[in-house]
Amino acid sequence: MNRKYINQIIRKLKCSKKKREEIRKQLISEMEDISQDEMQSLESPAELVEEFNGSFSEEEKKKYKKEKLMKIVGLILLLLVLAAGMIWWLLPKQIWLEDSKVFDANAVKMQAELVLEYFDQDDYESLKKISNDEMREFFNTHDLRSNKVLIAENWGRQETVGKVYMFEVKQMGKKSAVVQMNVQYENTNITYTISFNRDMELAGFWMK
Amino acid sequence: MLVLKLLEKEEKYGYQIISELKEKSNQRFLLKEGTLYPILYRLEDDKYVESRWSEAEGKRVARKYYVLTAEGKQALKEIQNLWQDISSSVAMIMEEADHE
Repeated sequence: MNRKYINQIIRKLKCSKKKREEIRKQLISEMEDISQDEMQSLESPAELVEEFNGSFSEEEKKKYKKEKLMKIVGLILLLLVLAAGMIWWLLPKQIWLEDSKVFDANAVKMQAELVLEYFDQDDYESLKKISNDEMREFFNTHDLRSNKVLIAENWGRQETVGKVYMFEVKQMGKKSAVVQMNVQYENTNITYTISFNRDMELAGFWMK
Repeated sequence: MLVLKLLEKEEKYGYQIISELKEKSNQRFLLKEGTLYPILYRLEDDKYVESRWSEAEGKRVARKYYVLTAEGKQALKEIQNLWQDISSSVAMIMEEADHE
Protein backbone atom coordinates (compact mmCIF):
# COMPACT_ATOMS: atom_id res chain seq x y z
CA MET A 1 0.00 0.00 0.00
CA ASN A 2 2.12 2.93 -1.17
CA ARG A 3 1.31 6.62 -1.45
CA LYS A 4 0.38 6.34 -5.15
CA TYR A 5 -2.03 3.53 -4.33
CA ILE A 6 -3.55 5.59 -1.52
CA ASN A 7 -3.84 8.71 -3.67
CA GLN A 8 -5.65 6.75 -6.37
CA ILE A 9 -8.23 5.81 -3.75
CA ILE A 10 -8.52 9.15 -2.00
CA ARG A 11 -9.08 11.10 -5.24
CA LYS A 12 -12.23 9.16 -6.05
CA LEU A 13 -13.89 9.07 -2.66
CA LYS A 14 -17.31 10.69 -2.58
CA CYS A 15 -17.18 12.08 0.94
CA SER A 16 -16.32 15.30 2.73
CA LYS A 17 -12.77 16.64 2.67
CA LYS A 18 -12.47 15.98 6.40
CA LYS A 19 -13.43 12.33 6.00
CA ARG A 20 -11.17 11.95 2.99
CA GLU A 21 -8.19 13.23 4.95
CA GLU A 22 -9.02 10.92 7.84
CA ILE A 23 -9.14 7.92 5.51
CA ARG A 24 -5.84 8.99 3.97
CA LYS A 25 -4.25 9.25 7.40
CA GLN A 26 -5.61 5.87 8.38
CA LEU A 27 -4.45 4.12 5.20
CA ILE A 28 -0.98 5.64 5.61
CA SER A 29 -0.78 4.41 9.20
CA GLU A 30 -1.79 0.90 8.10
CA MET A 31 1.05 0.88 5.54
CA GLU A 32 3.47 0.33 8.38
CA ASP A 33 2.10 -3.12 9.20
CA ILE A 34 1.59 -4.50 5.73
CA SER A 35 4.34 -6.71 4.36
CA GLN A 36 5.44 -6.73 0.71
CA ASP A 37 3.61 -10.04 0.13
CA GLU A 38 0.42 -8.69 1.61
CA MET A 39 0.71 -5.56 -0.52
CA GLN A 40 0.56 -7.75 -3.63
CA SER A 41 -2.75 -9.21 -2.51
CA LEU A 42 -4.44 -5.90 -1.81
CA GLU A 43 -7.63 -5.06 -3.65
CA SER A 44 -7.38 -2.71 -6.60
CA PRO A 45 -7.93 0.99 -5.87
CA ALA A 46 -11.19 0.87 -7.88
CA GLU A 47 -12.54 -1.97 -5.70
CA LEU A 48 -11.60 -0.16 -2.51
CA VAL A 49 -13.16 3.05 -3.76
CA GLU A 50 -16.39 1.23 -4.57
CA GLU A 51 -16.51 -0.30 -1.10
CA PHE A 52 -15.74 2.97 0.63
CA ASN A 53 -18.26 4.94 -1.41
CA GLY A 54 -20.91 2.37 -0.71
CA SER A 55 -20.35 2.70 3.03
CA PHE A 56 -20.74 6.46 3.49
CA SER A 57 -23.76 7.66 5.41
CA GLU A 58 -26.40 9.90 3.81
CA GLU A 59 -25.08 12.80 5.88
CA GLU A 60 -21.58 12.22 4.49
CA LYS A 61 -22.92 12.07 0.94
CA LYS A 62 -24.77 15.35 1.51
CA LYS A 63 -21.54 16.96 2.78
CA TYR A 64 -19.73 15.72 -0.33
CA LYS A 65 -22.39 17.18 -2.64
CA LYS A 66 -22.36 20.48 -0.75
CA GLU A 67 -18.56 20.73 -0.92
CA LYS A 68 -18.61 19.87 -4.63
CA LEU A 69 -21.24 22.55 -5.25
CA MET A 70 -19.21 25.07 -3.25
CA LYS A 71 -16.15 24.19 -5.35
CA ILE A 72 -18.07 24.80 -8.58
CA VAL A 73 -19.55 28.06 -7.25
CA GLY A 74 -16.08 29.14 -6.09
CA LEU A 75 -14.62 28.34 -9.50
CA ILE A 76 -17.38 30.28 -11.27
CA LEU A 77 -16.83 33.25 -8.93
CA LEU A 78 -13.09 33.12 -9.57
CA LEU A 79 -13.70 33.08 -13.33
CA LEU A 80 -16.10 36.02 -13.00
CA VAL A 81 -13.55 38.00 -11.00
CA LEU A 82 -10.87 37.19 -13.58
CA ALA A 83 -13.19 38.16 -16.44
CA ALA A 84 -14.09 41.43 -14.67
CA GLY A 85 -10.40 42.14 -14.12
CA MET A 86 -9.66 41.38 -17.76
CA ILE A 87 -12.47 43.68 -18.96
CA TRP A 88 -11.26 46.42 -16.62
CA TRP A 89 -7.74 45.96 -17.97
CA LEU A 90 -8.97 46.12 -21.58
CA LEU A 91 -11.19 49.16 -21.09
CA PRO A 92 -9.54 52.54 -21.58
CA LYS A 93 -9.34 54.63 -18.42
CA GLN A 94 -8.80 58.33 -18.81
CA ILE A 95 -7.85 61.33 -16.70
CA TRP A 96 -7.33 64.97 -17.66
CA LEU A 97 -3.84 65.45 -19.00
CA GLU A 98 -3.20 68.20 -16.43
CA ASP A 99 -3.42 65.51 -13.75
CA SER A 100 -1.01 63.15 -15.53
CA LYS A 101 2.25 62.22 -13.85
CA VAL A 102 3.67 60.92 -17.13
CA PHE A 103 2.87 63.60 -19.70
CA ASP A 104 3.50 67.34 -19.72
CA ALA A 105 0.31 69.01 -21.03
CA ASN A 106 2.14 71.92 -22.69
CA ALA A 107 4.60 69.63 -24.45
CA VAL A 108 1.75 67.43 -25.69
CA LYS A 109 -0.18 70.44 -27.00
CA MET A 110 2.88 71.76 -28.82
CA GLN A 111 3.56 68.33 -30.34
CA ALA A 112 -0.08 68.11 -31.51
CA GLU A 113 0.18 71.55 -33.13
CA LEU A 114 3.37 70.41 -34.87
CA VAL A 115 1.56 67.33 -36.21
CA LEU A 116 -1.23 69.56 -37.56
CA GLU A 117 1.27 71.90 -39.14
CA TYR A 118 2.99 69.03 -40.99
CA PHE A 119 -0.36 67.57 -41.97
CA ASP A 120 -1.70 70.85 -43.33
CA GLN A 121 1.49 71.23 -45.36
CA ASP A 122 1.22 67.60 -46.60
CA ASP A 123 4.71 67.10 -45.18
CA TYR A 124 4.45 63.38 -44.52
CA GLU A 125 8.20 62.84 -44.34
CA SER A 126 8.37 65.12 -41.30
CA LEU A 127 5.32 63.40 -39.84
CA LYS A 128 7.07 60.04 -40.19
CA LYS A 129 10.06 61.35 -38.27
CA ILE A 130 7.96 62.08 -35.20
CA SER A 131 5.86 58.88 -35.45
CA ASN A 132 6.17 55.44 -33.89
CA ASP A 133 6.75 52.35 -36.06
CA GLU A 134 3.05 51.60 -36.64
CA MET A 135 2.26 55.16 -37.74
CA ARG A 136 5.35 55.27 -39.98
CA GLU A 137 4.09 52.09 -41.66
CA PHE A 138 0.65 53.68 -41.96
CA PHE A 139 2.03 56.80 -43.67
CA ASN A 140 4.04 54.56 -46.02
CA THR A 141 1.01 52.59 -47.13
CA HIS A 142 -1.77 55.22 -47.10
CA ASP A 143 -2.12 58.30 -49.23
CA LEU A 144 -3.58 60.90 -46.90
CA ARG A 145 -3.89 63.47 -49.68
CA SER A 146 -6.62 61.40 -51.33
CA ASN A 147 -8.35 61.00 -47.95
CA LYS A 148 -8.36 64.75 -47.53
CA VAL A 149 -10.13 65.14 -50.86
CA LEU A 150 -12.83 62.73 -49.74
CA ILE A 151 -13.77 65.16 -46.95
CA ALA A 152 -13.64 68.32 -49.06
CA GLU A 153 -12.15 69.22 -52.46
CA ASN A 154 -10.28 72.19 -51.08
CA TRP A 155 -10.07 72.75 -47.35
CA GLY A 156 -8.62 76.25 -47.69
CA ARG A 157 -6.42 77.91 -45.10
CA GLN A 158 -6.58 77.10 -41.41
CA GLU A 159 -8.55 79.84 -39.67
CA THR A 160 -9.07 78.98 -36.02
CA VAL A 161 -8.35 76.20 -33.60
CA GLY A 162 -11.33 75.62 -31.31
CA LYS A 163 -11.42 73.93 -27.96
CA VAL A 164 -8.63 71.48 -27.22
CA TYR A 165 -9.29 68.51 -24.94
CA MET A 166 -6.37 66.54 -23.64
CA PHE A 167 -6.43 63.26 -21.70
CA GLU A 168 -4.11 60.61 -20.43
CA VAL A 169 -5.53 57.26 -21.48
CA LYS A 170 -4.43 53.99 -19.91
CA GLN A 171 -5.38 50.82 -21.72
CA MET A 172 -3.95 47.32 -21.41
CA GLY A 173 -1.20 48.69 -19.18
CA LYS A 174 -0.07 51.28 -21.74
CA LYS A 175 -0.38 55.01 -21.16
CA SER A 176 -0.84 57.49 -23.98
CA ALA A 177 -1.71 61.15 -24.33
CA VAL A 178 -4.75 61.92 -26.44
CA VAL A 179 -5.52 65.35 -27.87
CA GLN A 180 -8.85 66.22 -29.45
CA MET A 181 -9.09 69.52 -31.27
CA ASN A 182 -11.58 71.19 -33.58
CA VAL A 183 -9.99 73.11 -36.42
CA GLN A 184 -11.85 75.45 -38.69
CA TYR A 185 -10.60 75.78 -42.25
CA GLU A 186 -11.90 78.15 -44.89
CA ASN A 187 -14.13 75.49 -46.43
CA THR A 188 -14.54 72.79 -43.74
CA ASN A 189 -14.38 71.92 -40.07
CA ILE A 190 -12.29 69.00 -38.92
CA THR A 191 -12.10 67.30 -35.54
CA TYR A 192 -8.72 65.72 -35.00
CA THR A 193 -7.90 63.08 -32.46
CA ILE A 194 -4.17 62.68 -32.07
CA SER A 195 -2.40 60.35 -29.65
CA PHE A 196 1.17 60.07 -28.45
CA ASN A 197 3.04 57.31 -26.65
CA ARG A 198 5.23 57.87 -23.58
CA ASP A 199 8.14 58.78 -25.86
CA MET A 200 5.96 61.53 -27.36
CA GLU A 201 5.90 59.74 -30.71
CA LEU A 202 2.76 60.07 -32.84
CA ALA A 203 0.86 56.85 -32.15
CA GLY A 204 -2.61 57.59 -33.56
CA PHE A 205 -4.21 60.04 -35.95
CA TRP A 206 -7.95 60.33 -36.72
CA MET A 207 -9.97 63.06 -38.41
CA LYS A 208 -13.62 63.57 -39.09
CA MET B 1 -20.65 -9.25 14.75
CA LEU B 2 -17.09 -10.57 14.59
CA VAL B 3 -15.63 -7.08 14.42
CA LEU B 4 -17.71 -6.00 17.41
CA LYS B 5 -16.59 -9.11 19.29
CA LEU B 6 -12.92 -8.40 18.64
CA LEU B 7 -13.33 -4.90 19.97
CA GLU B 8 -15.25 -6.02 23.06
CA LYS B 9 -12.32 -6.26 25.45
CA GLU B 10 -9.78 -3.78 24.21
CA GLU B 11 -9.26 -1.12 21.60
CA LYS B 12 -7.68 -2.19 18.33
CA TYR B 13 -6.56 -0.63 15.06
CA GLY B 14 -7.58 -1.72 11.58
CA TYR B 15 -4.74 -4.01 10.64
CA GLN B 16 -4.82 -5.60 14.10
CA ILE B 17 -8.47 -6.55 13.58
CA ILE B 18 -7.69 -8.07 10.17
CA SER B 19 -4.77 -10.07 11.58
CA GLU B 20 -6.65 -11.34 14.65
CA LEU B 21 -9.65 -12.37 12.59
CA LYS B 22 -7.37 -14.27 10.24
CA GLU B 23 -5.49 -15.93 13.08
CA LYS B 24 -8.47 -16.80 15.27
CA SER B 25 -10.46 -18.25 12.38
CA ASN B 26 -7.54 -20.42 11.23
CA GLN B 27 -7.28 -18.29 8.12
CA ARG B 28 -10.94 -18.82 7.19
CA PHE B 29 -11.89 -15.17 7.47
CA LEU B 30 -9.57 -13.10 5.35
CA LEU B 31 -11.00 -9.63 5.70
CA LYS B 32 -9.76 -7.11 3.14
CA GLU B 33 -8.98 -3.50 4.07
CA GLY B 34 -11.63 -2.34 1.65
CA THR B 35 -14.18 -4.41 3.52
CA LEU B 36 -13.09 -3.66 7.07
CA TYR B 37 -12.81 0.14 6.94
CA PRO B 38 -16.29 0.72 5.53
CA ILE B 39 -17.60 -1.60 8.28
CA LEU B 40 -15.76 0.40 10.92
CA TYR B 41 -17.03 3.71 9.50
CA ARG B 42 -20.60 2.43 9.49
CA LEU B 43 -20.24 1.17 13.07
CA GLU B 44 -18.86 4.54 14.06
CA ASP B 45 -21.71 6.38 12.32
CA ASP B 46 -24.16 4.15 14.18
CA LYS B 47 -22.31 4.94 17.45
CA TYR B 48 -21.47 1.28 18.12
CA VAL B 49 -17.76 2.07 18.17
CA GLU B 50 -15.73 5.15 18.79
CA SER B 51 -12.23 5.95 17.66
CA ARG B 52 -9.19 7.86 18.75
CA TRP B 53 -5.87 8.68 17.15
CA SER B 54 -2.80 7.55 19.07
CA GLU B 55 0.22 9.79 19.43
CA ALA B 56 2.98 9.25 16.89
CA GLU B 57 6.03 7.73 18.56
CA GLY B 58 9.39 8.20 16.88
CA LYS B 59 9.17 6.75 13.39
CA ARG B 60 5.85 5.12 14.14
CA VAL B 61 2.97 7.11 12.70
CA ALA B 62 -0.26 7.77 14.62
CA ARG B 63 -2.83 4.97 14.54
CA LYS B 64 -6.58 5.04 14.67
CA TYR B 65 -7.88 2.83 17.47
CA TYR B 66 -11.45 1.63 17.74
CA VAL B 67 -13.27 0.65 20.90
CA LEU B 68 -16.78 -0.60 21.60
CA THR B 69 -19.29 1.84 23.11
CA ALA B 70 -22.07 0.91 25.54
CA GLU B 71 -24.47 0.89 22.58
CA GLY B 72 -22.05 -1.36 20.73
CA LYS B 73 -21.89 -3.79 23.66
CA GLN B 74 -25.68 -3.92 23.75
CA ALA B 75 -25.84 -4.45 20.00
CA LEU B 76 -23.23 -7.23 20.24
CA LYS B 77 -25.28 -8.98 22.91
CA GLU B 78 -28.40 -8.81 20.73
CA ILE B 79 -26.61 -10.03 17.61
CA GLN B 80 -24.96 -12.86 19.56
CA ASN B 81 -28.36 -13.98 20.88
CA LEU B 82 -29.79 -13.81 17.39
CA TRP B 83 -26.87 -15.77 16.03
CA GLN B 84 -27.26 -18.46 18.73
CA ASP B 85 -30.96 -18.75 17.87
CA ILE B 86 -30.22 -19.08 14.19
CA SER B 87 -27.36 -21.55 14.63
CA SER B 88 -29.31 -23.74 17.11
CA SER B 89 -32.32 -23.72 14.78
CA VAL B 90 -30.12 -24.69 11.86
CA ALA B 91 -28.46 -27.41 13.99
CA MET B 92 -31.85 -28.81 15.03
CA ILE B 93 -33.05 -29.00 11.45
CA MET B 94 -29.82 -30.64 10.34
CA GLU B 95 -29.99 -33.24 13.15
CA GLU B 96 -33.62 -34.05 12.34
CA ALA B 97 -32.71 -34.45 8.70
CA ASP B 98 -29.88 -36.86 9.65
CA HIS B 99 -32.28 -39.03 11.78
CA GLU B 100 -34.87 -39.42 9.01
